[in-house]
This record gives sequence, C-alpha cells and structure tokens, in this order.
Amino acid sequence: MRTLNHPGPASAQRILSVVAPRLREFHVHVPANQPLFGFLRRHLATLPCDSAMLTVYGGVFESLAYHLIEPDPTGHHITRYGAPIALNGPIRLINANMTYGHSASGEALLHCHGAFVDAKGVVQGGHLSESGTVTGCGGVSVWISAIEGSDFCARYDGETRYTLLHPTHKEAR
Amino acid sequence: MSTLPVNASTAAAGDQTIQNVTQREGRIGRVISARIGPNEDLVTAVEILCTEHSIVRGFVRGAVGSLIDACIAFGPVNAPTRKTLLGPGVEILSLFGDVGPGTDQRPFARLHGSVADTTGAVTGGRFEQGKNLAFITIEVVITEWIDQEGRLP
Repeated sequence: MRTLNHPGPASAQRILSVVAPRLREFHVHVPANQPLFGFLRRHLATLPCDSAMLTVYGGVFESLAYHLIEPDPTGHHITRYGAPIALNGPIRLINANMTYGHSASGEALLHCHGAFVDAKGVVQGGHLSESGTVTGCGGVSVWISAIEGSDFCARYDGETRYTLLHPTHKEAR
Repeated sequence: MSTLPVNASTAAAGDQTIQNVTQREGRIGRVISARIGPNEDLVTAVEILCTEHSIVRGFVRGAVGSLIDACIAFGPVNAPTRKTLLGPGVEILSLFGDVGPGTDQRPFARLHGSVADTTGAVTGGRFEQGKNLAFITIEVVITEWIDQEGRLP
C-alpha cells in the first residue's frame, strides 16, 4: 500500500490516545424537521460527558448535504473538501458515525461521516455538512457512547495543515 | 465464557447445523479515545492501542476519518474477495469491531464497516490488515470488555 507525505513535517507520535475510566450509553430520538447537528449539539450539552462517539441510524432526512474529497489545487494541502452536494428528501440514512469534541474555546464540534440512499435507491456517502442536513418524517435515532474524563479537542496539525480533533485528558484542555 | 447447548425447540430452521452457542457475559471497562495519524494502518493501530493499554478484549465503538486507499474484504471467509478503492481520501463512514486474543495471544482486531470513495460510491466489508492507511486522521473509540469473572490475564 502506498504512503503519502503531507506538506508539513510529520510529528513523531503517530497514534495518540487517552484513557477515560467510564462510558455511559444514551439513546435519543431526533424528531422530524430538526437540523441534525444543532439538535445534537444542544442535547449533548445536557449530558454528563466530555466527548462522545455517536452512531446515527434508522431514519429519514428531508434534506441532506455532504462533501467529497478532491485534490487541493492550491497545493496547501493534498486534498480538500469540495463544494457541498445538496440532496432533497426523502433521503434514508443507512448509518453514520459522529465524533463529539470541542474547539479550543469550548465550542461543541461534531465530525460526521455517513451513508444514505435516495428515493431512487442510489447509495452514497461522505462527510455530512451541518448546513442543509434536516431530519424528515419520523426523525432519526442516535446511540451515544458518552465519555467522561476525556475530550476530543481541536488543534492545528502542522503535518496535514488542518485543524483536527485530538484526544485530550479533561484536565489538559 | 460459557458454552450453551442450543434449545432445539427454539432453534431456527436455518440454525440446524449449529451445535452450540458461545456466549460471554461481562461489562464495559475503560474507554480509549484515539487519533490515528497519516500513514498508520487502521487495524494495526487498533491492535497497538489495545496492547499499549493492556486491553485483552474490547469493542471498537466507531470511527470517523479517511484512508489514503482502502482494501475491503467480503464474500467467503476462507476465500474472500478483496476490493481496493483508490484515493487519496476514502472516507470511513461507519465502523464497528471487536478485539480479542489472537493465536499468539496478542490483540487481534476484526473491523467491519463502510467506506465511500472520492465519487461518493459506498462499499462495505471487513477492513484488511495492513492495507488501510490513515490519510488525514482517524478518530476512534475503543471500550474495554471485562468478563464477569474479572479481567482476563
């Protein structure tokens, strides 16, 4: 398998990890006509957790927008996200994983990739966009693996030149 | 771990060839949150994380990130079909898996999920070890599994 060199210097530590003592499970149903990201951001703020891994499943979106990866013509990065691709519902979600973390200023961040199928049966997948992703009739279900004691904190990564989520002890935020 | 006989009165017709069921009872222990950096193999990284944190058994609860290229296996276990998706930038859409002792007693990960190539086309199956290198980043969460009788050696 090929490897790729990013434009910045590679950091010595290739796999970063932190340990938290406890995980709690929650389930939430997101009703119809809700912006998925906004709803979850508000809901997660009410839970006793510092970060989470979410599985979104079993539902329909009235509208959905996603991005695909494309070469970065500026050369600043190897690739970048292309313009959002907007789909109108009903778009049935197959499933999606979502990481819940925070910016340096404490703002909740959600990083979500998912697979979905349109009304003609075409299956697609990619990086879900917060803008334009709204639940449809019946809403969607979300299984939340809520982590106490560690966070995914956004920090600039000099190697890839992107701000990325990094596992961080709660006390070190 | 216990091996339970199948109740013949409740076994489904399609399960007739199954002679017994292996079941584990336990609970969730510690939680590992991780970032896998560029050019590191997804499956190997999960095994390294379990080794580093002395996790004998665990579950991978999910992952979000991208691969340079992807190699996904499906079909018969003993003679799988392997599909390679060229990136760079194959997105991991969903992932779930488990980790347990391999034949050499070191952590052995079985990870399944779905990916999208750079056109958005979706493929699913098992992530082949050594052939799914992280591109920008992979965020992953692993939970330790503790058997009811206590943590295994």
